[in-house]
Amino acid sequence: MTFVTTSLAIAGLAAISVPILIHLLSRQRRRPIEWAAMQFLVEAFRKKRRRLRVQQILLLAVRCLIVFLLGAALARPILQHTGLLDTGSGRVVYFLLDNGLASGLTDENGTTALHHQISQAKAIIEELDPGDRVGVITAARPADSALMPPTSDLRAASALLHDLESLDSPTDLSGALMLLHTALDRTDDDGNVRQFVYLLSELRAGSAALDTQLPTALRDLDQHVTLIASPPAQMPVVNVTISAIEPVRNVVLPGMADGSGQVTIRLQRTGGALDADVSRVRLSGDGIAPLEPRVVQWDPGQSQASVDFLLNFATTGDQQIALTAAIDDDALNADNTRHAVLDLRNRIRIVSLERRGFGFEPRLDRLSAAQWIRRALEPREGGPLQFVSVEPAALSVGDLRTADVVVATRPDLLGEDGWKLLRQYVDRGGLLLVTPPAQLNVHQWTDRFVKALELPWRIGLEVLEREGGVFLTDEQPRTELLRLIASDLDELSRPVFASRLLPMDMQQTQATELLMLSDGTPLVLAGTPRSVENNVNESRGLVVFMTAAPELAWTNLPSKPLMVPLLHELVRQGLSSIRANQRITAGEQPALFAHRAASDLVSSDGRRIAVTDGRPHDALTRAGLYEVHDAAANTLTTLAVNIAPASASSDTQPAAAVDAWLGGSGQWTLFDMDDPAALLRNVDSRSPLAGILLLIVIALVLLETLLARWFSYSYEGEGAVTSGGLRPTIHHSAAGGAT
Amino acid sequence: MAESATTRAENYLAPETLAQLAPFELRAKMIVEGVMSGMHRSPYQGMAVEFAQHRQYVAGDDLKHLDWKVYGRSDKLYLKQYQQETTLDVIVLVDSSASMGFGSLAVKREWGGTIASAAKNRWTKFDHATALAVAISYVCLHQQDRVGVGVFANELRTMVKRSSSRMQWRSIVNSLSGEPVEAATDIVKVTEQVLSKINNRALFIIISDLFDDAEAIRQSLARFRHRRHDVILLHTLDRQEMMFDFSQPAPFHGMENEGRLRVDPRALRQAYLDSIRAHADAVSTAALKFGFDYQRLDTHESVGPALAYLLARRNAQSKRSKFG
Repeated sequence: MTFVTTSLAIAGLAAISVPILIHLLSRQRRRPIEWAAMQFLVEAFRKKRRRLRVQQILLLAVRCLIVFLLGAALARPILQHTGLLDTGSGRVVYFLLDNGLASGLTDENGTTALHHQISQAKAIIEELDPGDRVGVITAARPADSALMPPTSDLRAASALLHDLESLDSPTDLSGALMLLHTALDRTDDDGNVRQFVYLLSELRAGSAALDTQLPTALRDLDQHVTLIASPPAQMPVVNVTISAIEPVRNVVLPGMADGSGQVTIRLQRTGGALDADVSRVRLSGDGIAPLEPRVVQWDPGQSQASVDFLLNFATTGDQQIALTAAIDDDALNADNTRHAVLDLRNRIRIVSLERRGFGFEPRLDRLSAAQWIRRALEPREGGPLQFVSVEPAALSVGDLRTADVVVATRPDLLGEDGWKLLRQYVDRGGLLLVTPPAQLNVHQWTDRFVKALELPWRIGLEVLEREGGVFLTDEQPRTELLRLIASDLDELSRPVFASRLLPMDMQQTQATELLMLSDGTPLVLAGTPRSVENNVNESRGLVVFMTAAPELAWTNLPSKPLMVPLLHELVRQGLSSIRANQRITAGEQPALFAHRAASDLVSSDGRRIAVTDGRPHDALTRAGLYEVHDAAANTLTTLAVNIAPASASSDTQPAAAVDAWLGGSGQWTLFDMDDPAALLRNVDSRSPLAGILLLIVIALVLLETLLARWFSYSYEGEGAVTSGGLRPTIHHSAAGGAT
Repeated sequence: MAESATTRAENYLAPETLAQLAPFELRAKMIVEGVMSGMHRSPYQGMAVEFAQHRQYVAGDDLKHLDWKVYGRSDKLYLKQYQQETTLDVIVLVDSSASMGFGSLAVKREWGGTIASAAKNRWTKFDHATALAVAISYVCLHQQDRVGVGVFANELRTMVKRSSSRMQWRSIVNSLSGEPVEAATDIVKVTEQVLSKINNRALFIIISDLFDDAEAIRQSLARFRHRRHDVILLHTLDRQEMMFDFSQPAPFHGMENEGRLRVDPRALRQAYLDSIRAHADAVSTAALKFGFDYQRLDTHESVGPALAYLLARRNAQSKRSKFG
């Protein structure tokens, strides 16, 4: 026999001492009575002693039994295989409920998938008996133990299910199953308790990514539990999702008429039967002129579309512009809006770590790397790119505080502290461009560089001389950083060669190659520092490294047309890329390293999430715009939290494929949608004794009442004690005494 | 000392008690021998004051009792017989065992009583017994009877010799002014001691709770009967002893070293009452069997009416015996 609440059974057992203590205490507090006619009392006691003792023991036993059985009944005992007492059950049912983004899909009646799943769960709960328990795990990322350990309060479980809402996070069935696995490992239920897991989800493509695999730890999940899942939905539901807002640049210089105000809105259409249709796309934002909606004409079967908007900035000055794209309501509303944040900048401040020269500018063939870079980025004074020279050995925090880009052409002059400062700068979201110093033959600084920034790069120490030079390859890799010059890149690369460069072991280097030489070695590559903790990339910045110093002694790049667009793109798209990295997907708990002073996040609808040590306390499960506030409630920046487009997919999936995918965690049985509790009903071999015990308690209370009255000799009424005694042979009613 | 005794005597005999006793005269049921002239019948018929009857002369009769007037008229010899008025010897025995110290009635100041009752603030059985004894002694002394008083427990503790003098009553009061002693009643031993001191026939008034073995009491009464004494048993009990009306479980402590017993009185009440009733019935049956008077008194009821009732009943019995 087991108990639903073992502690109550123990309390009932302990409560047996209560009537015994009352009995003992009542004995202690009586004052003795001096009695003359003791011989008759002793005689009466001797006659009645045995009977009285039996009565007392009987009463005490009944009272102790009442207390114990009451405690045991409240503890809800469960008896197994009792035959005669098989009147109920004692099961544990876990609900894995999909409340991710896809659960918000509505049917033709406007009822969401989540609502259907909740109704199914309630129907199952109604089939349960007292003594059964229910646990709930929600699958929206991050998966949450909404009701664990399981409770026997079935009404509370129903109420909890009733209050569940679809979140904007993607469904994380793997995470939910892992939570369940952990909970099952921790449970103290013995092997005799029957446990059922109900996976309630439509299992569309947005909920179950069949191209992934469930964790191997779940392989034996069905050893102690019965796994039951919803049948995958087969009803086609068309859903249009705004999958992306792609500004040409995320960091915009309004003064430059370079077309950087263009924004591309991408749409995806899912759901199977894709007929011809129309979607209206709207784009709005503070600080931009109003834009006319654009119409997307969907052809039958078309699943992807995009529209372009050209932004006219109504304001100038450094500020952030929050863009919101929206389409009309459809089957899933949460994915009909998407946000992006643009950085509107008057200037980009570039800090050049170089040794200052004095006097006139040297001849072209003797220009330093820093001077070539400055000529490329700031051909004239007062341009949007502003150069500031800083002595590398004197680098301070103040120099980097307002820097957008740091160009290190003399990294050999940086000390340990300098590298630490640069690491912190990059982690906060800075862009660092490093070139080797042209005048060195042995480059020992590369060790400090790689070590300080924790880059998984292997850079040679000695300069590699290439007689006659090695030209850039004709087919350059297509990268996001050089996306805007990709069409001309091959043409621009062709005349560029490098005769000296630092060799790199690309076998042991993980980086994005931006420009490649024809011998397969990189000329320009980029990467992001790793975090010290857990080898997780939490740095927000970007490091770009040129293996050849941009000086004519190393390469002819400075004198070729590629130099200017290359450096401009590296700077502006590098900053855009860093900005794009700060976009967050719903369900994440992002690190806010760029804003160490962040105190809390405030959503556009006023919800406030505290931030501690650079992370919000809770995952951002709702899409939208969030302002990052410091302790003084100043707005530090604005974050765009968007849904993951894949999680909004309403594509149906074949039952066999879903079954095979779920099979990674054991054997699942699909339940009947019309009778979800049928499988639960078929397996039952337990019996709750609480009702029986309560009946016994009631009977014992009645028995105790009768026995107490019978044994107490007071049932004849109050007058009984004054009647039936001896009478004097002479009666007088007057008061006693000498008179 | 004399002043103290007087004061205490007044406490024993409240004016109301004396007023209730005044119309009655104490008469012995049996004719007792008495050397003193009193109001009681003498078994010796002869030259006494009151003519009783005639009987035929038989040989050997004293000729001086012949009624010559009857012989002259009827020529038959008849003797005149007279009823001689005698005085009564009354001996009051008061139990002072420890159990007599029990009382459940709160004392009122005007009741007087013993030192014991004053200390406990309860009207004890001993108070009741002494009040009875003093009252009886007063009545007897008032009608010229000789009265003696004995106080006993496990033995005869004090004995005031019989006397009808004016000072006797004060001696009796002094002898009763003590307290119950820490001893149980031994009625057989006390009977032996008392009877060894009394040679002539007397009326014994025993005032006690009679918490002794019923058979022992019966044997003692038999001894009194054997010596042709008259006995009035005044079985004095407290009302709580007679009713046993406790409602809460409590430990009971015996006053005569019976130890302590923790009981639920409600559970034992019937058995207790059966037991004490059986004892009282056994004692009363034995008393009646020997022709003695038995009266059970409640200490919660006043002494005067009970005593008056007793004396009236004795008087009526005496007259029925005289004329019947």
